[in-house]
Amino acid sequence: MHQKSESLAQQVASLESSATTPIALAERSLQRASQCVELNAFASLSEPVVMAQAKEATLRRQAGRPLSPIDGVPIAVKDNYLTKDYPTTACSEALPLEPRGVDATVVANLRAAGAIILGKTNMHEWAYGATNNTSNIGPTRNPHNLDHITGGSSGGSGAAVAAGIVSAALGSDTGGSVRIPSSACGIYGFKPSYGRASRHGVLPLSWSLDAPGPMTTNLEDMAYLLPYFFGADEKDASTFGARPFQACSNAQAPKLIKLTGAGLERANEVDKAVNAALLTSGMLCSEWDLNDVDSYFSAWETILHCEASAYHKHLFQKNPSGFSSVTRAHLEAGTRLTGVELLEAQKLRSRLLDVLLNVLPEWDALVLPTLPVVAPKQGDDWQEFGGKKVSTQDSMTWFCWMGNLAGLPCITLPVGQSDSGLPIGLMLMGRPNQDEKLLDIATKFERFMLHPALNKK
Amino acid sequence: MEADLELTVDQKERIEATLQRIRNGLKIEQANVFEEPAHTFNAEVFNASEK
Repeated sequence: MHQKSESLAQQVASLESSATTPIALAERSLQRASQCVELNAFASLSEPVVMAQAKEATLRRQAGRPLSPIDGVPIAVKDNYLTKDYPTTACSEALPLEPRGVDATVVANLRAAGAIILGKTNMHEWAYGATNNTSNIGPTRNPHNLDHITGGSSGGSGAAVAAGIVSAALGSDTGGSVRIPSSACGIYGFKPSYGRASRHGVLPLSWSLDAPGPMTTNLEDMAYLLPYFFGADEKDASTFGARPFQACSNAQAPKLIKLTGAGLERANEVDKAVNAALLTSGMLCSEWDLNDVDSYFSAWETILHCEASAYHKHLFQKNPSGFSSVTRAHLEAGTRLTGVELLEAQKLRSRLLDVLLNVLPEWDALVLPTLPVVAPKQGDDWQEFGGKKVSTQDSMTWFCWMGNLAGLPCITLPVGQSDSGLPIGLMLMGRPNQDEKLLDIATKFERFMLHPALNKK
Repeated sequence: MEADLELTVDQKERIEATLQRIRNGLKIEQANVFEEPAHTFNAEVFNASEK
């Protein structure tokens, strides 16, 4: 069911040359969605809502007054972003099925640019898990093989892009939720630096770890979308110092460090694909054995559960049966952690940043596989790799949580596939607030990986 | 949580496993035990090379 759609850049070019119209793009997305119902990618999708937006965009284009280059491009939105014309449920029974009448800042920015908000995508309940198997509308399925999971929590967005329903979708990322399904579905995902992109109107999981981000079919499209994410938003205090997006193309001979060590094991086929990509790219890359990974992971988990429990306290009190059994257990665990433990976790957070930014030799990007395994089979609860037996849930966040704990910008790009044909992704992490440089490094990395001769010039 | 809910055996086991794992991780002694925690989270302030 995997089908690469036109990229967002191709859709923009077709609209600008009048080779297509927003109505035609919307009809194509709706038709493709109806061919892909087995993926269970959407929580809400309404033809009248979509076509009303498409007609308005088409009229603007016909009058020669598009609101922006992306005016008339359909974009799918994860079901934890508030949208004025669709319900926002976070795929939980605890929230009402009525639209709230307001848009999250990123959605409002895209709508003001004329993008068609196609529908709301399936997700792991409250984004509190990374498999996408716990959802009030059932699990999503991987377009590369329906018997495998998409990963999550933005699994519906990953499936919708990989199946060619849309060229781009929105996700949110607390421990990898943009990057995990992007990697498992063979697409591109970007988690911005903490405080660079507005979280306003994206239902929180853990407010000091959460970041909204785009998921696309290529890297070029990130530059079209990131301007609608970045910059100060008076409704999100974490963004008060945020710069707007400013494209960068001057990353010269970037230095990469591949992180290894206990707690960062990966399956052989994954390591092989990542090493092959690094070698082919010809970019300078050294290796660093990171110590104390388990303690940093515990810090991430402490902050996650404490903040999630605090955020959900009132809703849980009011409607406990609206939360799934596993989510209830997570929330209960959060309340049993002490204030001292939370502060110890914050201390470890500072230490990880100090180690990554000041103890490691000079670097421009850190390299890890995005996932230690390819997309697991539906129903498989355990994964074995590198001599470890790990729950499928933990295997999904295995590398990704570090970017959230440290607040670093992260990007995943596909670099190969397993013998079984499932995608393998490579993750690059940049220095804080150097999101544009990271995108430039990723673009060059991919160009050299695909065309090694270019790096020899 | 305050909601008076009967927890299932599976939930109790998950909670116990989560707390045990977290506490094992947190107790790993760090080099400077007198360090202060982050009061506010701003990753960029740690970027010494940028200062």
